[in-house]
Amino acid sequence: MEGVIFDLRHVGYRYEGGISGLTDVTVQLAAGEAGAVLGPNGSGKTTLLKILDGLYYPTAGEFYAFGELISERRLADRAFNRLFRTNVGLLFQDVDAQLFSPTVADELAFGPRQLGLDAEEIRTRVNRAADMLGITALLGRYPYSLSGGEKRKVAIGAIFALDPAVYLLDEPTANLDPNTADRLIDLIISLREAGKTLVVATQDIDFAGYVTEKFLVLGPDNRLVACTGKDAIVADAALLTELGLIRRSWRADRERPVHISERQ
Amino acid sequence: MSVNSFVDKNLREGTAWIERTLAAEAVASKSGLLQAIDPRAKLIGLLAMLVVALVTHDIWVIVVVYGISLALAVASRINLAAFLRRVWLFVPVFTAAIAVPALFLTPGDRVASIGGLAITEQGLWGAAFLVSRVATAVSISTLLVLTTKWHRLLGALRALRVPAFVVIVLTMCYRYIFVLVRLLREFLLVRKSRVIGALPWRDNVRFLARTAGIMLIRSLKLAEDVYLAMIARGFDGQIKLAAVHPLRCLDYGWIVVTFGLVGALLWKG
Ligand SMILES: Nc1ncnc2c1ncn2[C@@H]1O[C@H](COP(=O)(O)OP(=O)(O)OP(=O)(O)O)[C@@H](O)[C@H]1O
Ligand SMILES: [Mg+2]
Repeated sequence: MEGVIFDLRHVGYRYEGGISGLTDVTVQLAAGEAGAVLGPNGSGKTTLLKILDGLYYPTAGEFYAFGELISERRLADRAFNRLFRTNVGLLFQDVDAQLFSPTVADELAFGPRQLGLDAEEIRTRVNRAADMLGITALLGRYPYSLSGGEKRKVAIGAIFALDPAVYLLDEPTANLDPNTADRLIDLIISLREAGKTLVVATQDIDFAGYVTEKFLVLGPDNRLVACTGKDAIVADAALLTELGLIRRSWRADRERPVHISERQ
Repeated sequence: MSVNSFVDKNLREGTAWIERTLAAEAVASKSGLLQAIDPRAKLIGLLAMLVVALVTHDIWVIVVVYGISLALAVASRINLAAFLRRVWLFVPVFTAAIAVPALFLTPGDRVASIGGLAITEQGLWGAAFLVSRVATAVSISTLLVLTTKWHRLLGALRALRVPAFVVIVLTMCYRYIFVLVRLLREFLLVRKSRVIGALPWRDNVRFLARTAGIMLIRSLKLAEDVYLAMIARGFDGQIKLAAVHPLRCLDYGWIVVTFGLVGALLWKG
């Protein structure tokens, strides 16, 4: 299978205590393709991204990445681990987990440094990523003292500095002001033009529609409900409504919420 | 003041204090003597002073070291009143538990007695030693923390061949403290916004116990995620930190002066 980057076959994941995180997911993603993972809270979006990033290993089924079966053993291999980590970057939903370096600049440099790039190259990457996200003024700050949205920008910047072939983004637009969210759309589109592969987990269908063409929809039972082109899904208002993925104003029947001043 | 507002006030001030102390960015970025010295040299020099204060048997040596620490604070543009307050607020808490019993329990010549318990001269000296030692030690560590940016301190530890693992653990501890302190603050705010009027003392205790439990769970969850986030970005057990700069004349000068002083004090004392 030429060009397939991720290949999941009946993948399932159970957390300790038997809590289901993901059930029987079969899906493929080719190089340069972009998929949006949609689904209500607790449907398994984050779990799926952590599997794709080789952080969790499926408890059922098989997960192949770059043509190799991913397992703890396989990733323990230095050379393969390096190859995998250079090629795949994950933005964590919980930014507090991702930011552990003493300064924003160190945070952006962490990934490139682990990959053993030279100092000059690291500096270039840090500055470029900071510039892209508009956080140059924050470089000397301590990450803990940033606002929620600033933290997310730094976390996104850290992935951009890593510049992997595959971007896995978990709720990238959460906490972002509309302006920054729009800017992120432009950045992601330019990534796509550069041939990067993308998977975004999001609740923001508008955003998903701008940056991806394939929608993977997870249901409340952690199973894949649909996996098709975005147009087919956007057209399937019944499904979106059933899963509670769209706000009232979006629904087919256009049942707009009534402003309190218009109520009797 | 009611019991509730007392608990509230203390927790609030406690968390704010931790944030302020650990985030002493303001002082660390002033241009003073200690700020100008390389963290590695500073660490070595201050450590030597600390050791003298801890091993000497002459109380005057401790007093001199304490005096030097005050002079250094002034030379580093630290507000002396705030510095003294910071140190002496701490001292009683740490020493009272040990010094007070020692006052009474050390056998020797009776000086005075309180309620049938005799205070001995040896006990008095012991307590004086302990208090002055602790005050000096706290002063010196406060100097270090106030005048050094935390990440540079970690870099210094790494450069002084402290194992990378220890440095990572320290980095992460530092990170957690902030997350936990912030979490605790949010808990307090949530509670404040949801509790109307005063809670009985018992409920307050219950709230604190539950908060501690939740914080523990959250911190374990966070620890796992932080680890995963490091793995995700290529961490393979050997952390790579930024390169460090070579020492300059000022740094060597500082080491020579502090070691000279420390040597002289040890030889005299
Ligand atoms: N560490 C964990 N331990 C146990 N169960 C977990 C853990 N993390 C997630 N789960 C459970 O696994 C299921 C899927 O969680 P996941 O985080 O993947 O959902 P999600 O789609 O990302 O949700 P959200 O939209 O809220 O981010 C949920 O039922 C959740 O309760
Ligand atoms: Mg999630």
